[in-house]
Amino acid sequence: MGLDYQLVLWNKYKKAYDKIIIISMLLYIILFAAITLIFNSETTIETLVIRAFGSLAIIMLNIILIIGPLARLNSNFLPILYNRRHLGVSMFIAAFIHGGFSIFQFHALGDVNPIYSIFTSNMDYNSLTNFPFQVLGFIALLILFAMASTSHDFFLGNLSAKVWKRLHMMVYFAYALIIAHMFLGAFQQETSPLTIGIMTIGFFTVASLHLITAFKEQKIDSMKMEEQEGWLKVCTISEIEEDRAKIFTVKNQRVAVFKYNGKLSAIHNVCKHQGGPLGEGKIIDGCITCPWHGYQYLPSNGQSPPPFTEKVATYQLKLEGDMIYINPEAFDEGTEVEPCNY
Amino acid sequence: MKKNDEFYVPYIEGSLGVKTKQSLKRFVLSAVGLIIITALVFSFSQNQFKNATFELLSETKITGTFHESPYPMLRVHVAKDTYKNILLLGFGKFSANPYLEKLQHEIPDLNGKTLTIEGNLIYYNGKTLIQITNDEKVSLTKNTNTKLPEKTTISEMTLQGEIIDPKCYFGVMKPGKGKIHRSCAVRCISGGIPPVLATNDDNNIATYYLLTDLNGNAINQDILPFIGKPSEITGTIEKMEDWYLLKISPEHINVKSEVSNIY
Amino acid sequence: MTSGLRKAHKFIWLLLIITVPIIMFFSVKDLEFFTDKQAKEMSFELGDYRIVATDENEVLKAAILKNEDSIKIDIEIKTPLKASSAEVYELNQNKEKGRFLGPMSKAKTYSFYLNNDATGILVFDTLKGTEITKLIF
Repeated sequence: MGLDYQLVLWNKYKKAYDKIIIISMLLYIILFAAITLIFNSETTIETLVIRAFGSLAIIMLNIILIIGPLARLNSNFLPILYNRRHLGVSMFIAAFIHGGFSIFQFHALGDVNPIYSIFTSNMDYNSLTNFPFQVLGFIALLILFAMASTSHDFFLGNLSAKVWKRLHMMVYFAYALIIAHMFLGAFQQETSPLTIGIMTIGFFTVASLHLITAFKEQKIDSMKMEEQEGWLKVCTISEIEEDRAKIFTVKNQRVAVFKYNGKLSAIHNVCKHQGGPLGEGKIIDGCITCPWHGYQYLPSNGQSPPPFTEKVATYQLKLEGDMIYINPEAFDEGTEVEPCNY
Repeated sequence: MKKNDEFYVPYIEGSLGVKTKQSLKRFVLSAVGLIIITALVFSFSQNQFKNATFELLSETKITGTFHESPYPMLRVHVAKDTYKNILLLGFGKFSANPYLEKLQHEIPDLNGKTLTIEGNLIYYNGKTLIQITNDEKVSLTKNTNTKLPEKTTISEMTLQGEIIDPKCYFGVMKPGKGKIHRSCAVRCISGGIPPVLATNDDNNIATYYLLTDLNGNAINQDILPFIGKPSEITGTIEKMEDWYLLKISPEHINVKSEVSNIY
Repeated sequence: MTSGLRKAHKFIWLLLIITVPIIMFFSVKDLEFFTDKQAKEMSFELGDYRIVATDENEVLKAAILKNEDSIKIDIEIKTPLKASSAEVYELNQNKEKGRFLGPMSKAKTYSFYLNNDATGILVFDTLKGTEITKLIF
């Protein structure tokens, strides 16, 4: 949430996170190289690099892709989500080494431009098993590059959260391309039930976690609330924990109703930073704090405390006895609304 | 959403709760476990690499009779009445021709002349090739004509195998065949490296055939769609000392759907 | 995330869980998972010869065969030699490089006739000027 963009705002968790990433990547590469050099010593260094980094990248991508749904299903995993982009950039670096070595080895030093060669050296576009699988990997690498190079908050701010999120959702397309790249490439020649099995299990794990989460979320979105003279019945005060919120769907939008210091306030549930669920956040120092990256908003007006400038929409609440009601019409982002006192 | 009293805020010291820490630890341990298991699986499930050799870092000097039949070769005397025909190749994915041009300015027809070439040897299973990277390392040793190797026609036959580029297959890349390598083989053969049909018989004995067109001339661009795929090719076999040649027409190449059995 | 993004996610993953397994299935259905690419065990053709001695190392297997009037050696190259050329020489009585027997190239069985007083064979890489292997009998 900085106004000035620093390359990375380091803290001890980020450092620990990155240390784990680097050590794990090294562990993989060293193990892969050592086993190959000991048990299959006639390898060439290029092949070793291509295979080690390629397989590392896809394994990392599988791990990256389960973090999202895992954090939705269990908030204990949120700190992993918090620095997921570091993992993403590291994965891109591994994929880039794989792609760079492959493009150089297979397409460079020839009679045409290597990039042109990727698309034209194998023209069996009408066949499945003979399909030019390198094209798939190349497109996936371009997507990963676009994502890695815009992963910093600088781009998030400049591209707008919506465009940024759309761009970064391309990772699912890249994931499918990479699976096809492996199945139509490496697995056609290096056929092993173990590697094919691992990739298949990996895909179904990732896909089912996403779908389980999606259907759970859909339930919340399709929640119907009772209407009374233009106001929607929310819940009783006691159903909300202190300094926490409950999330309700109002006119297709999720709204978080917070309870704090004997007051009630409602704001739009979507954080301006990366769309984190504010209603799963907590009131800290009088501010609603997003569970994803700690962005903060004042409950009474949906504005980030100065010097920050993020604003979210606010909603009017009323109390009838113990029952909370909400006006489904949102106010403009950052509109001051008197909290309900109880 | 699971009930959770802990709330981690990255910039608040000490907000990482015990339960969250435990979950993180579990996640990290599982990820590291996955890394170890997959490293084992992916490294151990690689096919065994061949002992093909590319002497990238050392150069060998060879002297012999130059001939283009139709691909540039050097016929090197290795023992009494015994010659080894060494295929000449250029740097990268190119033929040796550009490296001979300088000498061809002085002597237009190098056929039969004795040349000395220093380059990187590539060899596997009885076949030897040499990569030339510098035209200064090709020199004329004797300007008199020496006898060229004779070609004898054997028969017309239908062979099963895979068209490979010999530079990669005999040493530069591993694996230098099959689907993963196909694009590279196409680039090599397109760049003038002679195409070779690698075959393997029922007893697992390999035979290699240099491919030419029906007139015995070099064939490169016409066979690009068939490279790196198990194929059945009908053509006329000729023997030229330690090499076989196969005269083919691209219409007589049938791509098969089975897995390649060359090694 | 907004409800639109949530819908997009659900739609994308429904699409992927249908299409990706189809690609996976059709790309592996014709693959041979368990091919036995082991070379067949080669055996020496004896005829009226009898085996006098055999020797074997990692790359070669050799047998000295004798009949009434000649001695020959059968050499089987088990896996391709790692050599730029391979010329076979007889080792004379002083166990030195003697008569040239012939060249070897690809992996298969080669046969050479020997002098009665041969003490072994030497396989020599002429291009590189190095000794590949030596068998003394």
